[in-house]
Amino acid sequence: MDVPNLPKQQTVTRIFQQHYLWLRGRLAFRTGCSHSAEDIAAETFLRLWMLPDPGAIREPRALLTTIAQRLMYETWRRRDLEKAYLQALALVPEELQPSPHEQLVLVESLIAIDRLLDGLSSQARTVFVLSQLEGLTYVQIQQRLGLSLGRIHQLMAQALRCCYRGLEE
Amino acid sequence: MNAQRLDDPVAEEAIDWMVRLQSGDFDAAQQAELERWRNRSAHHRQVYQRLLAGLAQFQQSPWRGRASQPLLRSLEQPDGRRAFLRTALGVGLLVGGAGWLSGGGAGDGLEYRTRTAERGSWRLSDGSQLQLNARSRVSLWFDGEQRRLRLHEGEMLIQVAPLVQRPLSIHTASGALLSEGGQLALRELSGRSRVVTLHEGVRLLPSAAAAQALPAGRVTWFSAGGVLEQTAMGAMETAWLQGWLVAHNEPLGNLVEALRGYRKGWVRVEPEVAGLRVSGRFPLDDSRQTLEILQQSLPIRVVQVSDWLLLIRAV
Repeated sequence: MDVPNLPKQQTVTRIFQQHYLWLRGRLAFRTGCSHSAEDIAAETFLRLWMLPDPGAIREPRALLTTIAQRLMYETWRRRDLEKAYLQALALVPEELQPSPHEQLVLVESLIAIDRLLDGLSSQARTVFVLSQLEGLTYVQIQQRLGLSLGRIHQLMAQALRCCYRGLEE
Repeated sequence: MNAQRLDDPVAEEAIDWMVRLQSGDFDAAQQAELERWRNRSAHHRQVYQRLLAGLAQFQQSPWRGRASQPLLRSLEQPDGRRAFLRTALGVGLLVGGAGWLSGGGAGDGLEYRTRTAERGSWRLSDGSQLQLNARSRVSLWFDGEQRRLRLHEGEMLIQVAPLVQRPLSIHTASGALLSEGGQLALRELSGRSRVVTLHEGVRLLPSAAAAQALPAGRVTWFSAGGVLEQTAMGAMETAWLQGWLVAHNEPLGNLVEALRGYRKGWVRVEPEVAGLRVSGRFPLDDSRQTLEILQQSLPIRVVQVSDWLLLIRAV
């Protein structure tokens, strides 16, 4: 097995040795489950390891807490979206429903889209989805939603800014 | 806010172009003008490229060409992100409320669990025989009226004692199984479950789909939405009881998932190699050797980052 990038590895290993038990304990206390706590704690350190320069970290515990919070948030959000999707699907006639495997793929994409369009208004989201996923022209969107073309241009620009920023993270 | 203008004026120009390009009303003259704009500088091209990359999520989405109503409805789901992060950071708490990962319904059952690299076997009060693979956890609620079991994580094999009028119900995050008796194996993965029916008499009740009977000798993958995939059962489905991991043309990701319970810390498989197919027989109790064999037979590199973190990536 390979052992790469020594200084970085030493840094992360040191942070791990000093703070892993603390983080796991905190997570176990909060989640009430030691196994989940172990998983989140390990995934947190993995994200830390993937940072370009872990050596520059000043307050490891603050950063670990932030990353762990984001991971927990993502888990929650994923579950909420899955549930919402299954509920929305119940309104679709059975013969038009995707197969369970397709559903899984659709949910993955739903989660990615949700993350990318985070913070966007519901109206802008609708316009953008109709344009990019249903392939409607602005005139067709205008007919469907009763918005002015100028407004559709504005909302599209907002959504595109989200997509542009989305790659920063 | 994400909808605010971008700092880079070139990026704002690129967005202006893209808004017009997507309108459905973009002619050849405009196309030529866009080309000239793009070629003004390397920075212009770069910015435009990045915007295209951001749109790729949508261009490649399986939602393309489908009715978008279910998608839009799901995205309406209120997002507590900001409120959550604010409170959590301000008060310094991590999460409120227990059981958020177990999918609820934990209650006060009798609990059986195994730790990393440990297997266990128990005779239950109704005469059933329960066996757990490494890092697995099960809760039981048995009384005169019901026999209920929940697999929280990991993998189990159960020989169900047949009791008149009292089938055993086994719950996972994706649904439930009802068994009248006989043997079945069940593994819980994120978002889906895998059941191996060694005998007849098992019914599957996915949380959000119709119930169905499962024939004997089949491997069934299911999620809350129903059956994902069904295949014939391999000869070595229960090989883990003897400490072996046996794979027939299995994606590497599944194989590593099965190994996780045998390693402390975290094993991460990079997505580009998770789909590689693997066949073979590997020792569970020597996961180091198993990884060594995999590295030699597949175009992958196993990188031991630290005691607690192992990465599997493309060569």
